[in-house]
Amino acid sequence: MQPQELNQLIEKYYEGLTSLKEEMQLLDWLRTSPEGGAYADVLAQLEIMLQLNTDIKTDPGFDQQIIAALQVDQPMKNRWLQTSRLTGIAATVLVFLAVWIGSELLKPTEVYGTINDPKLAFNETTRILDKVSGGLNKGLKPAQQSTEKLVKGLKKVEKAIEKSNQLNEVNKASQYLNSFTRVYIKLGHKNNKN
Amino acid sequence: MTVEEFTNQMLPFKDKLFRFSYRLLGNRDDAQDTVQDVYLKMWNIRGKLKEVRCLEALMMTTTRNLCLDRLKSKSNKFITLHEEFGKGSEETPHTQIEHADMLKWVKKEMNGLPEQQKTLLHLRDMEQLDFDEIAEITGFDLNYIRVNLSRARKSLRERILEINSYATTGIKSTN
Repeated sequence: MQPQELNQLIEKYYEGLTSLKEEMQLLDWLRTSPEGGAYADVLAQLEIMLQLNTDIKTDPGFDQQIIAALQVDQPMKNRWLQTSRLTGIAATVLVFLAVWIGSELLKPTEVYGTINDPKLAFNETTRILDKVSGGLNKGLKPAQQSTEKLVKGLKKVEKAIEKSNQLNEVNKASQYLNSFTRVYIKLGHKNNKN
Repeated sequence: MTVEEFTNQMLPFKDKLFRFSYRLLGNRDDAQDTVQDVYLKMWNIRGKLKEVRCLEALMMTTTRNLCLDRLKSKSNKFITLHEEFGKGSEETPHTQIEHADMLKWVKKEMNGLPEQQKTLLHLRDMEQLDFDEIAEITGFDLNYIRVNLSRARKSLRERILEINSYATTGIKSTN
């Protein structure tokens, strides 16, 4: 590699423009070339980076540690999933139940519009007639009560009339008595004169 | 999907997720907890994973989001990296110390970067992901990725040059 070419490659490296292949070429040249010593700082940087990469490793038992963690996590996760699924199903059932009960309670009992089903029409007619007759019965009851009251009043009037009739008879008797008394008085006067 | 099937498919990503998480959080325990949370999240959506185009990108995105949540909840801004580096190298004790110092300084510098730059630097320079994958994980557009990656790289370079001005020797290649 010519010095100019090498300098350009180093410059490219520090500008972050080299490919991985070019970086490997640069490292190889610096490692092997007798003129590489002039670029000791570049070589040091490239070497250190690679060395830092290879020297850091996990602890020997790290694999087992991960496997153990995964095995512990698995049943816990399943249990949590099962619980959440059951809770979800229970909540859904409750919601549907609540909606169904609510819709049944709020369902209108009367049928509106034209009824094409004869059975339903018959039921509806029966129900409406029951309602009308029930209303009529309710209306007749007070009338019956007032009639009973009227009859009672009439009976009282009848009794009063009877009593008044009795008084008339007394009056008549008293009239008879008066006339009799008068006759008697007249007869008494005549006798006294005689 | 059984636990076994799940782990066979997903566990190969664990180190990558852990590195990413650790890079952002700066603490091993927090990083491992975060990765575990990522796996639990994936397990919870295992039924939908067949529809996912790139599982790795999804897991990386989830890791990033969980890390950011953790950082927000802890306000853990002053984090430090304290990993064991330089093991098994053929360096002399002297260069090993220098190497360790360099790593320490670079890590410190990385920790001081804004979260987005730190993320981009990790995904590109450490995980070697291409720009499209990074865009998918972070949700950033390509231009934004390039600009911020450039800033992060330049910032690290300045720090390395600064350290080199104190010590005359450079870092020895590890291959």
